[in-house]
Amino acid sequence: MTEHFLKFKRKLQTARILKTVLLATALGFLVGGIMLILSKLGWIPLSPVLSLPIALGAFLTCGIVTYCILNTTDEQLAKDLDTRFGLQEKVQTMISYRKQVGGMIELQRQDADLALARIPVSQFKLKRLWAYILATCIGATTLVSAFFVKAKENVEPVIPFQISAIQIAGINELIENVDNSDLDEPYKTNISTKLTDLLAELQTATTTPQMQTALRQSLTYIQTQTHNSSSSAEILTALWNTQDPFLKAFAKALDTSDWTENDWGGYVEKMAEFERLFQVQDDANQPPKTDEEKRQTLTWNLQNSSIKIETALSVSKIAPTDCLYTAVYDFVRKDEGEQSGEHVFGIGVIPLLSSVTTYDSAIAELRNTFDKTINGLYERICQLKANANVGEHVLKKLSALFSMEVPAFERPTFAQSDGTQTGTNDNDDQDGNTDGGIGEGAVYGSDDLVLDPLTGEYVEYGTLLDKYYAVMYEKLENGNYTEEQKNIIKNYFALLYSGITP
Amino acid sequence: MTEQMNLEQIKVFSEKIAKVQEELAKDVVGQKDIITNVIIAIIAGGNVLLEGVPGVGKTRLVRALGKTMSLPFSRIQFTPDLMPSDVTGTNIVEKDENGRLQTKFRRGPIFANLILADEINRATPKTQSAMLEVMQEHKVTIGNDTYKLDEPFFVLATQNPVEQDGTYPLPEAQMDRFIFKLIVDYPTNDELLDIVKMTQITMEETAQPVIDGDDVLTMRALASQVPACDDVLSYAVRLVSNTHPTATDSAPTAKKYVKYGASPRAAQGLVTAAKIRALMQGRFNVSYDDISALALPVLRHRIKINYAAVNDKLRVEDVIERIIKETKKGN
Repeated sequence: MTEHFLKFKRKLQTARILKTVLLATALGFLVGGIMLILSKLGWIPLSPVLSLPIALGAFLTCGIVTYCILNTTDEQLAKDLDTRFGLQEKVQTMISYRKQVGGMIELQRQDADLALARIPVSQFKLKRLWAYILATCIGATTLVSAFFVKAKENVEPVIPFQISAIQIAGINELIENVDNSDLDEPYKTNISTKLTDLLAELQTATTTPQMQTALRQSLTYIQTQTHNSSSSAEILTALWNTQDPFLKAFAKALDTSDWTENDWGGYVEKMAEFERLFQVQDDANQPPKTDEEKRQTLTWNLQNSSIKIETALSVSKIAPTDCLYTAVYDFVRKDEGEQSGEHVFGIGVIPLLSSVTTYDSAIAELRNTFDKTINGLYERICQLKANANVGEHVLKKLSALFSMEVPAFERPTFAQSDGTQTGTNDNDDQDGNTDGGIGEGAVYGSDDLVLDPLTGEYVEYGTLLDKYYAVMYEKLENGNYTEEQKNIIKNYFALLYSGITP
Repeated sequence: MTEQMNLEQIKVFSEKIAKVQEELAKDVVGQKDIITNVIIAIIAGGNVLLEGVPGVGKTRLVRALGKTMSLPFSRIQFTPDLMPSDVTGTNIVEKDENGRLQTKFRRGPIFANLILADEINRATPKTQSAMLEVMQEHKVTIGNDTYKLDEPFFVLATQNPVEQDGTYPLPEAQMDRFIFKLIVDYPTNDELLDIVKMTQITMEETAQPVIDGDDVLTMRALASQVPACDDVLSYAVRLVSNTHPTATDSAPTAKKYVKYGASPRAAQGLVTAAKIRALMQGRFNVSYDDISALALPVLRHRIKINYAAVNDKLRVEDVIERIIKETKKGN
């Protein structure tokens, strides 16, 4: 290989390095810029800082690949020189015979070298160098632009969603439960229809946000439909906050938060206690009251309580059409005309009766009023409780199926402050679990591996739970179990599901 | 030392070629390309077929060439009644000194270094075929005896494209033995004027011997050392293979217009001739131009065009030109 050939080769090598650096820089800038833009716009779940190592990786990869691709053999360079400068294949021949010796070959080599010597290296232009420079400019422009793109904040990754067979079965079961419940119309139809719509919507949902939106709307709607549990809390809290002993006793009697299916929570006894508060007792330290004094005191207490209850109702800002509102209002203000001839009055109107002239007759009227009105009040409260129970059941079940938090079920504020009323510890099991909570034991994610005792293999916890749920569902449907037993078992599984993150 | 020797040899080579051309120019007016190609063929050791109408100087060229070379020269006028033994020689029966009969080989005119086979297509195929072994292997076999011809040996044949009555077209096998087929065209007016002036003085060739057989062999050996890179060799091979209409990668023109293509001898002859052309031009390597410039004389008699070419009024030269254009240079 001659000296003049080597000078062209050196220039080509320089060009190779230059082009490699330019192209690698261009790609590094371009990839870094694009990644930065995408991460800033939140189109990819990537920290903008990570654009730097990615760009560096692109730079190195492109550099290595380009350096290898741009490798030019002596034969290729010789061909290029012959073609560009019309050397009649002198250089190619020289390179082909570079390892051979001979007089003719040496002459040919000198001839080719002489031809190359006549060509200045400067005439050996670098091919398409402008394209590499242009690419670098484009990459640099992209990167600079990326720095000016405003970052989108708090972008959450989109998690795909597909409703499972168990969730479909759960919603269908809920619809059946609602249809068979004691829920008032039109709430029953509305909630049942809403659940049907929700199922259809969830079957078409493809992302978790879509699922959560649909579910949240449904939860709100169902809670609104069964809102009486909420209004009850507000009315009773309003009564309690008056700090009037009569109203507080009345509020306690109306509080259904500790009621169960078979226990009214001592409603009758509490109403009787509330009634007894109106009876005027003699004070041992004072002289006995006259009958008239007692009647006046009773009358004053009744009027005073009536006014305070009405005021509390208005303070609670509950709509006058609310079920409990009307029941309580009737209890206070129902007059004879509204009762269709029966001699029953609200407690507020008893003192206004002309027939009530003596304390005993007033007491008798009071007893009569309580006897006649507390049953109506009770029926309405029961219906409220039924509505609240169905609503709470639906919300809790949906929450368990989809692992979403349900809106807080409001309770009268005094229910939490009074230990005798809340009974919050009554449901605690031996592990310290409460309804809907998670105990002290191991907590598994849906994709954690656990041992399947039936097969002896490790499977995902969610898969195992689905399997057990399917077995349970089939057994319950085909087995001889009471509704109470079925509910206990289903509630247990609902608790298990509530601990799983989908 | 070898390098200096080569340089000296090449210098002598160039001088002698120039002298041959100079001497030939005394007797042959114009036809420079023809002269150059004939010289290339002679150095390459190949045979040449000169084709042209009567009176364009074919025979004169060969005779003048014979004079420039101090080589035994034979002229064989091919006629329909010419027998193979008239060309190669024959065994004759004669008495020896003791009066016993014995056979003795009497050499024919083919036993020379330079043969002018004038109007070769007028001889019968039988006689033409007697030339096959001579032209390819440079030897003559009579009976069980084989006689080797002296080197250098070459045949310069002429044929007339007109007056085809009573002629026997040369078979393809014999055509393939000619390294070149050269078309001798009419001279230009100026050239014709020079011819007329020259022949008014004398009809005899005035060329003087400037080289001999050893010179030719030395030149041949020197030319064979000229290197050719793989790309150029591949181009020569591709050019020949592109003339084959049945080859999958042949030139489109060949597929359309060629009945059959050139033989491997064409590729061999092409490269050998290209090396000499390169040396004559002062180069020490073969270029693409050498190959493409010699493709026409090497291929024109080895390719048979089909009726489609005739129908499209294409000559074999036109087809070869197209194939050259369709053949890619380099790998």
